[in-house]
Amino acid sequence: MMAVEVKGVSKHFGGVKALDNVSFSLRQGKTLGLVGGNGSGKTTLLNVITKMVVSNKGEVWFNDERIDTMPAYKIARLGVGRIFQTGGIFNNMTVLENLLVAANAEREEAEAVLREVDLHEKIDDKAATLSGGQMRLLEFGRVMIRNDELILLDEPFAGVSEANTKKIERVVRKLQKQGKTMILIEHDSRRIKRLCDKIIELEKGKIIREAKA
Amino acid sequence: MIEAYILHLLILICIYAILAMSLNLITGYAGMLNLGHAAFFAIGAYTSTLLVMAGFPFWFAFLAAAGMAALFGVLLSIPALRLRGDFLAIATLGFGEIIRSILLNWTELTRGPLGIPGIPKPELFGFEFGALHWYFVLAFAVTVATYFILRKILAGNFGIVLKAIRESEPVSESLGKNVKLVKIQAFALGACFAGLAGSLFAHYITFIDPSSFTLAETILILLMVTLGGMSSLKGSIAGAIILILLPEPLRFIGLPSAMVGQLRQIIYAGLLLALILKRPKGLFGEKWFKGIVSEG
Ligand SMILES: Nc1ncnc2c1ncn2[C@@H]1O[C@H](COP(=O)(O)OP(=O)(O)OP(=O)(O)O)[C@@H](O)[C@H]1O
Ligand SMILES: [Mg+2]
Repeated sequence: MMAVEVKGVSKHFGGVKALDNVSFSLRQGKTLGLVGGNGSGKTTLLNVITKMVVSNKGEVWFNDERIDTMPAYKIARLGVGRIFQTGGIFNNMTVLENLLVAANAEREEAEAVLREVDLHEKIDDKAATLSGGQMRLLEFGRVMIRNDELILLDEPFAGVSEANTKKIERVVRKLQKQGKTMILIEHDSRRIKRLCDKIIELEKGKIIREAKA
Repeated sequence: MIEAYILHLLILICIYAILAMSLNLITGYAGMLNLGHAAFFAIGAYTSTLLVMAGFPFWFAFLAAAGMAALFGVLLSIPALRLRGDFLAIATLGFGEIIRSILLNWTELTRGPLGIPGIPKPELFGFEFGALHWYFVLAFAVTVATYFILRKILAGNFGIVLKAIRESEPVSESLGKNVKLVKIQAFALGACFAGLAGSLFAHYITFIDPSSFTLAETILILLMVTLGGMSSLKGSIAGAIILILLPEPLRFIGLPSAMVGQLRQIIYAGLLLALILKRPKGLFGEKWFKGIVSEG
């Protein structure tokens, strides 16, 4: 079954064509690597899928349901989760609160999830005190506690220490084993090969290459 | 005599503590600068007054005051939430003035500028809260209940979501939160408690007219909130206590009453300035205007 189908999506900001007639589909349980230079439209594509940005043209489908007509929070409730390139953490809230926004859970459940991303010792710390990598891990904790089915990852390894990079890669593999569908924006081609089933390359908002990883 | 005076101040403190806590929910916790809060206070006061004078029991009028104010909270928030920051503040300010001018001009219902005198003291199941100390007991009970209800709500998931929305609306949406709905709920809840305060006020003073519900009233409540600290219920209570008591000594130094009123405004303005300069987080709060006026 196709988890994600993007059909002829275009988005322009003033004169800038951020996405230009983009179409692709992704099977359930597969990971798509999204590559391309700076400003090629990668983040905009994730923004259109989650309705952070409204496209000018085209359709987005998730599990055979059209979602580009829905508000962002409804798309999220269908099981679409996201790790942001920047600004995805509520800095002034504790690590625990960051999880509880995502799911109305008990402390024990949150603690168990934090253990999986190695943050359980930080549970009551302000999120602002975390390192960049730990913030990413916390965002992974959020998609885990929400049990999202489609996970959109916007450069989750960028600026992350070696140790945390390993942890994040381990978490990604674990989510893949659980059958999650993912779109991963990433610059490191070897990591793309390791983690992805399929690659799409964008340039100036157009798909210029679609290949097996 | 002195006892009556003290009870009078205590009752006012209770009413303003409820107002400050309810505004803190909207402006402190939910981050929406609301310059029309006195309108919810007015709607509660007039609803309760008109219903009791039409023969309804006090308990019904009291709850209806909360319900009517909450309804107007929803009505205001739906258009207002399309706006952010400063524009939201202006919209709420306009709302406050519209309500006040309706109260002034719908004279068949409200008697306009003449006001409504002779509002009866509340009667609950045959017991009349006519005596001052009993009125204080009633007002105090409502204040304590307001505090615990709001504390319970804000300590739970709703409080966490409000905090998240204040930090980032898009990220909150991406986690499945219906940001608009949460804001409408916050507005309705805050308005609801302001409505209760309005009912308590009307049946205490026994006379209401539109001049009790001006922008200056909202500013006073806002000052209580900021003095006590945004996002702190205890702070709002402290703010109400301080600002009700602060101008009282003026009465005893023999100034003409016309001057007392103006001096009070000057004291409030001076206090606001001192706060901004010396203690921007208020006495108890985690933050002050940051993110409300400039960002929304
Ligand atoms: N909200 C916006 N308003 C105006 N222009 C935008 C907006 N978002 C993106 N753009 C523009 O759209 C183009 C694509 O941006 P996008 O962020 O999608 O690129 P990207 O591939 O994610 O780049 P990077 O690798 O730097 O993250 C860029 O030219 C960018 O300036
Ligand atoms: Mg990007």
